[in-house]
Amino acid sequence: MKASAKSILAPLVILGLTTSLMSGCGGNGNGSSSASPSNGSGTNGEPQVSFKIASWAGPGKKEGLDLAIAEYRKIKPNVTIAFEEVAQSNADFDVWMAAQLAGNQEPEVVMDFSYDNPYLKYNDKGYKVLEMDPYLDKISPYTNQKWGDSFRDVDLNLMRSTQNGKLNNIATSMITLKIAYNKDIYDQLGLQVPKTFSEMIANFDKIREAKIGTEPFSGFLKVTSAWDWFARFAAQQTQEQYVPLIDTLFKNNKYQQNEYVRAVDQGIIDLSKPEVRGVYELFKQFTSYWAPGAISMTMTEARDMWLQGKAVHTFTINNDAKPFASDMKPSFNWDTFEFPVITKDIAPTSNEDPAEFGDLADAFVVMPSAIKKNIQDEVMDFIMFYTSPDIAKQLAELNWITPTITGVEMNANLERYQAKYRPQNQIDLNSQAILGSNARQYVLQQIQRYVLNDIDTDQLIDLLSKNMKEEAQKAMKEKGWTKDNDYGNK
Amino acid sequence: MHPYRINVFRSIYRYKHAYLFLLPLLVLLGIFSYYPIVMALKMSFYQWKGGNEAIFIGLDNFVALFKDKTFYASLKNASWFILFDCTVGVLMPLFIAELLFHLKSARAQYVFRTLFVATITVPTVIVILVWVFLYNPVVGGMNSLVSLFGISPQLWLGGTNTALFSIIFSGFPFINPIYLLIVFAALQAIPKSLIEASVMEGCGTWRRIRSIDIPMIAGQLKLIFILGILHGMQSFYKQLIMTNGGPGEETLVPGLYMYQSGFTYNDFGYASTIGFVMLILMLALTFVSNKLIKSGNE
Amino acid sequence: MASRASKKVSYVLIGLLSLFVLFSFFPLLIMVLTSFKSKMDVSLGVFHLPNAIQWDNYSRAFETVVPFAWNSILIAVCAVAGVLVASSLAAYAFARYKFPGREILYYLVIALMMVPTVLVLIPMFKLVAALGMLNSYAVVILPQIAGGCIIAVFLLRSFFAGLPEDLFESFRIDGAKELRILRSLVLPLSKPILGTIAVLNFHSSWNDYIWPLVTINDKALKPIVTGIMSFSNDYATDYGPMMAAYVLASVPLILVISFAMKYFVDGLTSGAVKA
Repeated sequence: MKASAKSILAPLVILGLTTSLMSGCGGNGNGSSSASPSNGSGTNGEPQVSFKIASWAGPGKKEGLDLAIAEYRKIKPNVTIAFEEVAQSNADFDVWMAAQLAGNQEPEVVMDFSYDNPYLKYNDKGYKVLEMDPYLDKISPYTNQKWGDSFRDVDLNLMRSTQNGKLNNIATSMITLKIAYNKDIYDQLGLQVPKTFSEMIANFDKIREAKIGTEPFSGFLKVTSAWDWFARFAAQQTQEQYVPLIDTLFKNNKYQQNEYVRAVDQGIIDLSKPEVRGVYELFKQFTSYWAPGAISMTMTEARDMWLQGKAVHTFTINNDAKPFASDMKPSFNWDTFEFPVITKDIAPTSNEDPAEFGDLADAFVVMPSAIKKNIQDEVMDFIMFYTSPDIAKQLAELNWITPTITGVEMNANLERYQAKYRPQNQIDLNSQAILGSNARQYVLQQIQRYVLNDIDTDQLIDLLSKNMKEEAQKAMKEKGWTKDNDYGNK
Repeated sequence: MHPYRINVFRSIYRYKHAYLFLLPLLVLLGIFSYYPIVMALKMSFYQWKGGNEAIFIGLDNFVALFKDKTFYASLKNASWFILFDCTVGVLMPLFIAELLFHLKSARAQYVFRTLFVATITVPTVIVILVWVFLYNPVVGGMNSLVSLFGISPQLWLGGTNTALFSIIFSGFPFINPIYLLIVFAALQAIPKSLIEASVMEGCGTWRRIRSIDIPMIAGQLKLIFILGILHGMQSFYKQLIMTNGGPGEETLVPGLYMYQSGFTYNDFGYASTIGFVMLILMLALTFVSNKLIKSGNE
Repeated sequence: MASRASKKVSYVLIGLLSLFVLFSFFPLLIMVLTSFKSKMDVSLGVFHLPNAIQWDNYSRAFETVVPFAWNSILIAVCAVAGVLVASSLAAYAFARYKFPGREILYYLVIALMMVPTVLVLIPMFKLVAALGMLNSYAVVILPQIAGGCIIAVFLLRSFFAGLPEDLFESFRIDGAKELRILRSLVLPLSKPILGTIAVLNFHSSWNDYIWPLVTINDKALKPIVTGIMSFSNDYATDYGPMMAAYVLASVPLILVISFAMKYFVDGLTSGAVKA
């Protein structure tokens, strides 16, 4: 094999390379990611339209979209839509999308996170996403009403970017957050479902004292989610009075990034004020009952710990409903309760009127740069179809989700996840999410140190205040906002 | 024409074989390595968010990096990883290679050598998964294990003082199969006469290792020492998955900081700057190690 | 007397080495154990023994892994072949000829080892997209060859440089062309190093995840890692079938290693790879 190996190798390499290059050329033509609509006309004379939707894998995602696409094909046979799960996790998806955009290979539509994510991931980098505001006023052929009427105003407001106030995405499902608890242990220890924060803490204490070998709560702090949820939820009760103080430029009962930056610049937002500082302290108290090691745990690990009976409570979202009823069924009786009310005795500025503990998901984001011909209307038509009550209902039944569309009956299986409070708003002075990913991550890092007792509350406030002001200055410098031009509003 | 230039042309022609042989490599590297790298490094002089707009800002990124406390923290953390990779990461393969070397049976040598090479098939992802589980303070085995030694339960990956070393320790038993092969091959290359002479003179094993083995294989040890530096400086996959740099910045390393700057904070220009500085640092460390460690040739 | 003492030493050595082998393979054993567990068993802990062996995991893994196996094999074989060819040619040139620019070129090549790969992901994607290479085998193979050559050239050059001059003299006298010398003399002597390089590159090609993820969208061309990762997503990971998929995917790798190990057994003449 010795000398002859070399003589085989060379032609083999050449053969291999040429075949791969050829098969590459063959596969590249029509299989490439940005599918441009072909010019041929369909059987009924309408032009052929095709586009691609890309996202990452999630439970039921593919089934849901395949269902919607199949139904759509029945009424619009000239439209070919391809849905691809290009990555398994959203982190890998971000890398994939960043590369595709850099190489001009992006798909026409993606299904991504809502809120500020489209702005941060796309607009901020200089790519355009379709602003859907004009479409809200168009009549949807599937409801014969304005498309915008299918959604709650409060949800549409949340979907809008806080950077430019535009509707960069349309979220199609709602996530409700609850706290799941182990009913068997509650019965065993004689605990009642808590209504207030203090009651919940008292329950945690009783669990600790009973020393039954379980932790009171399994939380996770490797990523920002659990902290974000807590901050928003607490702020809706203790900080709502700040909204008119910040909402000074647009006066639309919510605030945008430039209004927030203005408030920081003028000292209106002061982290040492008791109502802001108090949220950090409450969180510290909350996390002191979490299972150790939460800093490096993800939501999946926290959930698994609860499923194994090693913790009595954990966060749960309605995505859990289906698995908890089938292949991830807890071996104990369980139920959920809403995040408890923060009462005036622990937070004097609390309005004791909590809002929903929730999130928006499965949002369509349209990339106009990928749409070669003007098929924008056709793409939006599919999205309107997807968000029509009929399809929304089918998807809700298939995947046990709560659509953002109004007028769809709640799936009976989601009873434990029914929203019981008023709709949420976005007030949040603690996580600095509105200032961008840098600020948000910094807050998480300091919170991690705070929870581990490496720094105390005063040091935390110091560090976070400094960082908040720096980030606000950075935003002002980058976007050219000054006091004189009303922070970009003039 | 100037006679010197004629000589240069002549020598280029004389060595045309060499250039021909180098061609495939250089073409490949030129297209797929150099061009992207130069493009990436160029970006450290721009404010670039990964999109189509890039604003030239000169040395601003470098100035910001120079003042960046997070970067210094990440360098400090990286130095722990590098230190470990260069000491234990070199000593363990040496130790195992010596053990193999002293086996009398050639068959046993073959079996164990194959086994150690086969450890390359263990996917890193699996190692991480297993260790993340072990380190869980509630359900993992680590706390139960250390309680046998009288150590109180720790937070491991979730604790400020323990996170970094938890990640380092997940490399147990620190035997890189390729390093092992290199060292072992080097040991086998030591002339048998030298070894026999030392046995004749009644040298103890330990003394022989010190005075013969190590100097003879110093070249290879230097090689894996340098590879250890490069690996310690660049790798961040474990840090990304196990702790994402946390708690706080305890396990942040420059490679992870670079990844986060690019893909989390949308600042690809800054990420390129970090990469640029990392490259300079690695060149410097390699150069210094090369000079300081005497090769076996001398 | 001496033989009994050395026998005891042998046993101690073998015991110690076995212990270290066990430690090194420990995660692999867990991997195999987990591949037989059901979802319920997995949640009970890593060391928990399965209640019943889930052969179903393997059939599920088989379905998702096998369609991609051919892609990975083709890519890896081409990558290894490419690395061996390009790097042995180049290393030979660096080692045996004192041509102008030799040192500079060599250090330029070696310096590439110090470039973090994450840095070049985006520019490299832009490049291959502009070259129209997306969705092909070439877009994965060629960068792998480029990357693998760097350390291969490094290892091979010091090996070639260490070969004694007199070996070449006899060949040169016969007037043999350089390529012939390389082929018939040098390469057979370098089998161990070539084997090491082949194993290294096959392994790294096999595990390459991010680059094929962003450059290949055509399902027919995706490598085997894709099949393995299909068992995990943001919400949950199905560890049972995923471990089974890892086990199945390890099989070709193990075959390659055993094949390459034969090259090592043939002994080493000078076997000196120095820095």
